[in-house]
Amino acid sequence: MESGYRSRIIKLFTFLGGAYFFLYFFLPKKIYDFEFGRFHIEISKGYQTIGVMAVGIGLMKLLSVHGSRIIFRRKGAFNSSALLVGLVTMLLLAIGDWLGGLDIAKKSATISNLADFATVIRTDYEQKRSDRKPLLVRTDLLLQSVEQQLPEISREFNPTELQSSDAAAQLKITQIRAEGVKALSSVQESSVGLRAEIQKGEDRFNLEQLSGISAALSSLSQARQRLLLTSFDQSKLKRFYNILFQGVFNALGAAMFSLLGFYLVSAAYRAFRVRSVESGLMMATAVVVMLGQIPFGLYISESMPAIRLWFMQIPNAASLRAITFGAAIAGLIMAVRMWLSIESRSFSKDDKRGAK
Amino acid sequence: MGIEHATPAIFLIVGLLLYVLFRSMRRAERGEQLYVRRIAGVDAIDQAIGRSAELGRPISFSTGLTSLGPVLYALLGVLHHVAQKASIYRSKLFIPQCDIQTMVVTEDTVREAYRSQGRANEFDPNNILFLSDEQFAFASGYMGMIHREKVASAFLFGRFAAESLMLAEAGQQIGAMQVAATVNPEQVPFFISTCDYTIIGEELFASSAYLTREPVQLGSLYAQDRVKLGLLVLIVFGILWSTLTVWYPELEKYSVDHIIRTSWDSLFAMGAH
Repeated sequence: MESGYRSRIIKLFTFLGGAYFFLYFFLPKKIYDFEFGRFHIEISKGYQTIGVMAVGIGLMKLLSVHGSRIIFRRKGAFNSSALLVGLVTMLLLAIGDWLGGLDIAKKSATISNLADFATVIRTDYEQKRSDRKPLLVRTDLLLQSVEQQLPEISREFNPTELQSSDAAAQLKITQIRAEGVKALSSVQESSVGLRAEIQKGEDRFNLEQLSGISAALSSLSQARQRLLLTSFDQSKLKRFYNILFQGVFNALGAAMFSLLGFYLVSAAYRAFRVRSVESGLMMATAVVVMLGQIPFGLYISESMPAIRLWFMQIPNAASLRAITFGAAIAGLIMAVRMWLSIESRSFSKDDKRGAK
Repeated sequence: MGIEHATPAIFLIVGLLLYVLFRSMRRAERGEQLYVRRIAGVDAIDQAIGRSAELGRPISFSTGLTSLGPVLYALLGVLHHVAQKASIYRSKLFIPQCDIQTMVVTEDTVREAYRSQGRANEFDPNNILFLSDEQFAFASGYMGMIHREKVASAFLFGRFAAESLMLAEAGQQIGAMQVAATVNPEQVPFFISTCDYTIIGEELFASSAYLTREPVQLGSLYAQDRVKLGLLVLIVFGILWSTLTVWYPELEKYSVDHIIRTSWDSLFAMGAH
């Protein structure tokens, strides 16, 4: 009973989900004032979020399979422990890397937001928006925020603050620092100029000064971000992460990929043994295509590249399209069956035929 | 140029497709004999399972890079069949996984297959292994596993990419009988040259119907063949019509391509006129 109830709920949600995407694709984009796909991005993100929940299941599966192997000292326990140590280490490092990146993004955003604010103040004033505070009040607020941030940024650009033992990294830090100090003094100059304007107490001032401080703040934000990223790259956490990710994981992936070359040779050797008319045809075609691909083919016949092109564009493309076309129609029919929950009894739980 | 949003003509074609699907399934349920041609690769599935039982060595069934979707749903029927047979012959069945969501679905299917044979207690969830969601890490895990376990038969069903040759070559090295089925045409040559049997493209969708002979599956297989035939006729008609437009350009607005691309807005505008 419970199983049937659960099954009905699953079928209902499957149908509703399928119906939404079906209608989204088939209904006109706009029917009078009604726009069916208004919340399409949100709904699509919702689907992705549900999918992400499965990550936990994968993690639990890994822990249960390999954890039990270690606990009960089964065959392969050593490999399992290596896997779990790798998993936990990489997980912790990736979290650390993510948090570090988040902190840098947050710090950079503080300054770039102020730059945007300066631009907005000018735009709002030019558009004469009455729902905003007066120009001088907003500019004063901007300057207060900038002045609050400057001591910390000045400290970051201090030559004694960030150092690296790596000469190349140190050179990069020095260069960024020079750019940052220049941007910082530019911000300070603009800030002093604007403060003087505010103190005059007049209703308006040269708005170019706002654009000036906005540009200076943008440069400062970029320099700060680069400095923080460079210094983060020099941290022990990031270095260890890079060693494991780029030095081990990526390198192993590339090594696996490079094995393909050898496997290709081995597979080609088997495929090109002429044992039947079909394999003979395949062999002949392959030889022509290969000769058409390389300059040597031209020595044999000038039309070799054209023959190769014909093979690739006519019989090859036609057969590939036929496979894709057939699979697409079959996939469509299968998708309709999934949507309407017209399930095969062979792997549904309702089937009791084989049960003993 | 692709079509981002369905046009009335596509709506009509899909409507016809649904009609053909339901009609075919009803015919199959009524017990009408629907012919399904023999597929050598599907016949070989039982041979491969029998071989592993004779040798007393495990079976491996990989779904490759398949994620949730029609392809996975199509191959579940085959997996269910393989799992049932493995439970009958008491062969160990390994299912290495690359996708977590797929793993959950396959585990449920295999458990159900064992249960349907009254051998639910023999089902070992630890044999459904999540190796990695990274393509080559998965490939290396798979290669290691089938070398260690010395599998007698390997099934490679689903979506595959560059790792296909690695997986199939690893099986070849240990002398496993291999049956592959993929909808990725670019991987077909690798499987043909390395596996004993290769099921190509839509045959993957047909294999489940072929094995189980169930009305739902037979009906949908019959429907897809009829739809394919209909679309083939449409393509030939479109080619002839396009050829005619060379001499009679005014026919262009009645061409299949033009009709298919006519949007809802154009249709409403025509209606308003």
